[in-house]
Amino acid sequence: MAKSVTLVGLIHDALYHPAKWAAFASGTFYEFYQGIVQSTGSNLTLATRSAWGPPELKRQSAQDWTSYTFHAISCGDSIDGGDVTTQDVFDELIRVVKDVSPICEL
Amino acid sequence: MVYPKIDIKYGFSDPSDLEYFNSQVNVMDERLKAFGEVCLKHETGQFLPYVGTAAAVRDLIAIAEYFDGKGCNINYYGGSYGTTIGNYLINSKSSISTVSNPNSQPLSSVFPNRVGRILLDGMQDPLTHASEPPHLYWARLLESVDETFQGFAQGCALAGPYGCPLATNTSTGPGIIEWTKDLLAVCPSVGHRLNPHLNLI
Repeated sequence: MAKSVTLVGLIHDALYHPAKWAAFASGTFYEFYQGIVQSTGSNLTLATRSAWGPPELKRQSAQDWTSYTFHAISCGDSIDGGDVTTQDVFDELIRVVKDVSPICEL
Repeated sequence: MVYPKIDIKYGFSDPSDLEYFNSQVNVMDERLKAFGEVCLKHETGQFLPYVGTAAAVRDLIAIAEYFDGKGCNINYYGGSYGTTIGNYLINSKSSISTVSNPNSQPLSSVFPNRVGRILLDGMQDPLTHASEPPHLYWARLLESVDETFQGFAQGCALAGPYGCPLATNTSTGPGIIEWTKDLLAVCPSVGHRLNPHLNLI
């Protein structure tokens, strides 16, 4: 079953390609919504889609594996973290969520 | 390879989420160490010292020389991270003097003479990329993401249900955002309670 982190990742990736937003909304995002409603029995609704045919767009695959290319290149290019701890990294993630990208804060 | 995820749906507005997140520091610390050891032992681990943008630019030069001849000028188009490759290609030594990574140094004095026509689109800051610890990238990577999502939601609402099936006839941009949050709320999470004994492989 699709997970919330999968949707967040798909949206985040799609935001980078505004020329494909319409295709994303009609395809992957809508299909994700349908899949969640069907699998969870949620009554989360929106407009009916009677005027729509099935998405003709090729669905993006929601990958269940992780690429480490970004991490490897970032570490290779940047200065050594030195005495940075995992707690420092977690603290920075918390700060960024609160101060830089708070859209999901309730 | 499984790299476990911690799923916090709503930022850290719920104190229990914040408490849980911080409780995973030691668990994740151990996993990261184990992950690093697995990487080093993997048959490709021997190549890790050569991973990086400096190596990518050297490859770029080699490929260009294969097609256009030794000493050819490099014509290059790069977007996003590709602009970092471009900046490594064109920047002079003085302009990246803050870079302390020796992996970057040889580039600075060798390749400016090879620059042909360069187009860089969607700039990534090459100085911070090379001169800050990588965990500080996140703030820059997400700098405009909320504003961009608001743009997506507003566009969807303006398009209406015939242009954006996520919308109704009365949808607004903020309404689409709230609807997305509701959708996330009913989605299953992954790894919210990590099993500390989960095998990494």
